[in-house]
Amino acid sequence: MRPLWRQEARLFLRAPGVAPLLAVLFALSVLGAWNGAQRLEAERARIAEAVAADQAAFARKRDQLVALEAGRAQEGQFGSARKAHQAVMSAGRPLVPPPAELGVLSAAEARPTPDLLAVSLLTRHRDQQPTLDDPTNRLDGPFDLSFVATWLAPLFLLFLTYDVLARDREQGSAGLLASQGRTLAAIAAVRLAVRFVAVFAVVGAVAVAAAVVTEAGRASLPALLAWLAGLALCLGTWCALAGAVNARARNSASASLALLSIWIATCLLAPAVISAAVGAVAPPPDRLGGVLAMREIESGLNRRRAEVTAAYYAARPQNRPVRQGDEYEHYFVTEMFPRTLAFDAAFAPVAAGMDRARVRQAEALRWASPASPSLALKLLTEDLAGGAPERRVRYLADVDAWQARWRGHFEPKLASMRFLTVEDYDRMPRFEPRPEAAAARWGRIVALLGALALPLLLALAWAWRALRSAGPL
Amino acid sequence: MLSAERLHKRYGAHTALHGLDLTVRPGEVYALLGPNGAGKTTTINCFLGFVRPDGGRALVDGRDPALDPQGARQALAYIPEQVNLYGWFSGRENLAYFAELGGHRYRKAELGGFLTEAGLEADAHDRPVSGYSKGMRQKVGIAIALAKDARALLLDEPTSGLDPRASHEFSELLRRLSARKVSILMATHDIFRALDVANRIGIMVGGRLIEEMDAGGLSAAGLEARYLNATLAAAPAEAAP
Repeated sequence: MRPLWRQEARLFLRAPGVAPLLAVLFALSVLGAWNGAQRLEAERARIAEAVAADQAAFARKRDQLVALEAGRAQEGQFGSARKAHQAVMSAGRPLVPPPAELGVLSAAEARPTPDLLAVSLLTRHRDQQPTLDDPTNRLDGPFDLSFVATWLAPLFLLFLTYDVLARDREQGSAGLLASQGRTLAAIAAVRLAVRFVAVFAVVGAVAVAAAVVTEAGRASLPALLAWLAGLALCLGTWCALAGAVNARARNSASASLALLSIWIATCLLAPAVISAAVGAVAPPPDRLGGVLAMREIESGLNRRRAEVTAAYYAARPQNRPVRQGDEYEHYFVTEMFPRTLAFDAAFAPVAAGMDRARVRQAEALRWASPASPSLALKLLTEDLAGGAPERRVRYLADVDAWQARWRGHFEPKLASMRFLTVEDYDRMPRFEPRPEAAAARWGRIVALLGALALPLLLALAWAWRALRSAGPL
Repeated sequence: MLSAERLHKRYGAHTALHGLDLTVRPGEVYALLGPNGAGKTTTINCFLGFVRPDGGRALVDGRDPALDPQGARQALAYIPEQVNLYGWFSGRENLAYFAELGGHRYRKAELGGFLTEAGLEADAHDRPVSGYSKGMRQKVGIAIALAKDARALLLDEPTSGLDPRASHEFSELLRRLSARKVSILMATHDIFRALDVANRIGIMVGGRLIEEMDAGGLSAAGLEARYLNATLAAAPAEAAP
């Protein structure tokens, strides 16, 4: 028997309503990709602007210092290039994590990984997080390709597959169909495959085009293939479910109701239940607890400010001031800076606990995600778009390490009030974030693909069992 | 070619077929007459493998549809009472689709030939089926059966709703198929059409084949009288607990 691809594809594509429906899905996909690309472009522009401004500022300071040392310039009261508390103490350097391969897929505004942090000798970068909630817990989010693939594509596939056999039974053509010598299971399988290819091609093609346009030059092919595999597994599950429902449904109305119920259960109900369960098992970071801990540490340090300063210089006698600065310099250098270091040391365990809570939450979500293919695809998409909490933790560790080197570079000059030299500017530590270990990263991706494969296998088993005995009556 | 051996089928408490024995030989047109609920459609569904008999067996060219439905269906063509096609496809496209389902791929001219042979006017071949009358759709159904080139043909009330001319053309077509040694089993209420085209006629009531006769020499009035006698005689038995 010849395969029926050509005839079924013609029958499908020329059926009333199909072309407009696919056109709407295409338009929504393009809109989602456009939003993702806009966010990405804005973010890259913001980063480029911040980096350029930072480089220009430090270049200006270096030039000023050279002029100062050559006697070609006078030092003002503020903005001195050789006094560390004015030149570098609060100058936030823009630190950028390694780019995510598929940032274009997501336009989430509250992603756990900020793509730009301004970190100085003083800044406590953790305070800048807009939210401590894991956005993968949020089922809505902005309109991007992640939203289209996760929630809309299954719905469109449902519109296109709910009647692959049920309508023939309803209209009385199932008998004629089944009498031709092919099983209804074979006919349904080809019809479902044609619809799968149509929806996958529309969403997948837009995603590939968006990735090619926005991620040009980056090594995003494996990530793109992983995402396409995830999309295929998710859509495949819906095709298998449609096959199972159509094997028994007497008419298209009951088939559509059954499939819509499954969509509501797996796309809305299951994620909500999972989110609640995960919130109980692995609660989100305690923001209030963090704020209280921060205030307690700060007030304690404020009460003991003289003690903190004394302890700092006792531990680092080589950093004792070599000259008497003005009252501002005295305050910033001998009080504020030691207090900042003491605060960071005291708050570090609290911050680490918050990061651990966020990672535990993400791990729990991934474990539960096989119950909802859409949630699993959402987690996969956000991960590939750079939203995994593990990535944030890794990035912040790199930031902490860089800040320690930055402090180590300038601290002796700052705390001792010695003047900076041109060499201090020339040998400033560079921020070089390490890419996440491939094993850890791909371990998460493979686990999520597994979470998508499991419901597919169950749905296929159900569909195979149901379709095997499907008849025209 | 088609045979039913002690075919038995129950739907819950209702017995649709009571040990039906029936044979349709190659080239024979067998008309199965009977009132609604007599078991005619169930008999056809057993040959198609759409329902599984509870006892006995149906055979299509020696193959049991209950055990090998696809094999049996390969040897069969089927025209239901309502030939429901895909309305957005033309008659020719519907024919191409169903022919390919049956494992045949024809050129455009060949498809047109089947449609013409089935009696569909050439200017209708490429019009969407949604604009067809019932008779025109029935002709596409016939063309599908012709294109399948099957050795047996099952017809369930094929002339229901057709005008006299279309019914006459249909009878002519069945005679041509019969001449090609196609076995034809036709379930119908139409005594006149049965007499016009069939070689043998069986009268079914309550799942039983009450009477079987050669059509030759029978008049319409005579067949009607025998049909009424058979159904009236069986009615009290049907009504008994």
